[in-house]
Amino acid sequence: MSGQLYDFLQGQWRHYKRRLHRVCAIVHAQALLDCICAEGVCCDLAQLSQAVETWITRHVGPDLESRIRAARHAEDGPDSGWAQCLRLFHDPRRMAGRIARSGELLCAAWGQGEDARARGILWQTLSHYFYEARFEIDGPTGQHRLRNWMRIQGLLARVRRDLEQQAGDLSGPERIWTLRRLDDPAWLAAAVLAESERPGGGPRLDDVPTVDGVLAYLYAFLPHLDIGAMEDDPALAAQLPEDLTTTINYYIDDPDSPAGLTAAERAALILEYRTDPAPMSDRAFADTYGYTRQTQRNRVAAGVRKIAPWVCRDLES
Amino acid sequence: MNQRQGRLTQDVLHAIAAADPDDPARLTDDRLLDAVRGRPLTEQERRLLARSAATRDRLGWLRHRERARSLAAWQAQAFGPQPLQLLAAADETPAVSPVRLVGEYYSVTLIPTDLEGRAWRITVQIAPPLIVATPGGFQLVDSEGLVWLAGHPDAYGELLGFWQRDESLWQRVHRVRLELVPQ
Repeated sequence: MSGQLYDFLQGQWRHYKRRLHRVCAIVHAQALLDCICAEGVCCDLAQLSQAVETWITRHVGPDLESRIRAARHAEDGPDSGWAQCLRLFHDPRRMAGRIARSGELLCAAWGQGEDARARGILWQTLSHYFYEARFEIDGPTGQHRLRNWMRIQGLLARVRRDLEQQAGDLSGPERIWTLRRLDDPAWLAAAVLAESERPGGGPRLDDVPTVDGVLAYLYAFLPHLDIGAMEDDPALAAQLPEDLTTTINYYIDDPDSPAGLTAAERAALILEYRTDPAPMSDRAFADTYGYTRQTQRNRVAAGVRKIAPWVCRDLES
Repeated sequence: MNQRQGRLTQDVLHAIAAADPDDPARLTDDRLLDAVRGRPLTEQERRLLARSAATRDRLGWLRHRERARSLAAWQAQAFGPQPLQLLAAADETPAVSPVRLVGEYYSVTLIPTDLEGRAWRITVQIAPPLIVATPGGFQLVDSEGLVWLAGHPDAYGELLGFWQRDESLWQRVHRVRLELVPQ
């Protein structure tokens, strides 16, 4: 039984999760956030519901449908997973309700130009919606997995509390380092398992008796895992080609590169990825740089889209 | 790679992945696990990895799984290597000199290779049971999160390296503790 359980967690769902992240938090996030956030403030629930419905109808839905069609023509066949992803968008009202809970944080970050943070909050919020939607579709099996996850969450809370107590006497970099373990899935998995086996330590994980199993649940349920993030993972970044950074920088810096960036796109990329401006409001941004943040985001997105195929071509050569 | 450069690389690789409707895994689990266990990817394999978000995710999963297994094995076998205190903060030892610290499952030796103490050789000697339980390799990390050394021990159970930073190691050893953890 446990083998099947982990196959599910490590296989299909993780593919869905990565695809959903790509579509919702990367490709179409800006369309939604521009619509629901104005001047750093989230719109009301009725407008939010309407915006989410429109977002699904005009952006996410057509994108997923085109991916489903493409997969049908490719080798993967109709079960490539995109159709399963589309099914999870069946309840825009509930999705809007989820987003509303973090609307204040989300729009404050978006309004200050902290785009990566805003996308992270959006993904975390949508993840919860997707888990619920997914487990509804799965019926009793899904409920069983959800119960296991609730037990793991209980143990996670104890592990967190204990580590925070340990860090209570620390300060500065040592405290930050100690608490970073809470973002380390391997450390968390081992700590949760140890906690479950400690006499009087809390709920036992009868269905998840190994560290592989606990880690599989963390990967399935924690939003930031398994989505190709490597910004904070030097070990993963170290496995990439040594000249990748140089290649990307060439397409930004050389005006004669075949990527054909406009001067405005080049300036936007440099501002986005090489300077470290303090978070600021849309108005302050426009006053400082002479154009709107919306323009900045569009230029960055256009620049990255122009660079990507050339970098890809270089990687294939 | 600094954080902003890392984000640029990530965004470009995301854009490449977004243009690929399926993005199949391009390296086998066995090969990726070999990489985690110390057999480096070739340049061609690195390029395949860069083109595939699915393969990067898989590598991330296998690396975390290897570390989680090692940490669980350490707990189950009660290895629990304790952090090593270097020199007490109050220690006013003026002269730069070699430092040797011996713990239960590993020892650390710091040897200055110039008179001013700018360059240091770092050696970690690791007990065989700990090596067996840690196929993904080790990191020697200090209590502020700085990685001093990382990799797989050689046939003699030694992990060797050099101090690579502008900051004075001699000042740092009065402030931090060192800990050996799975990589």
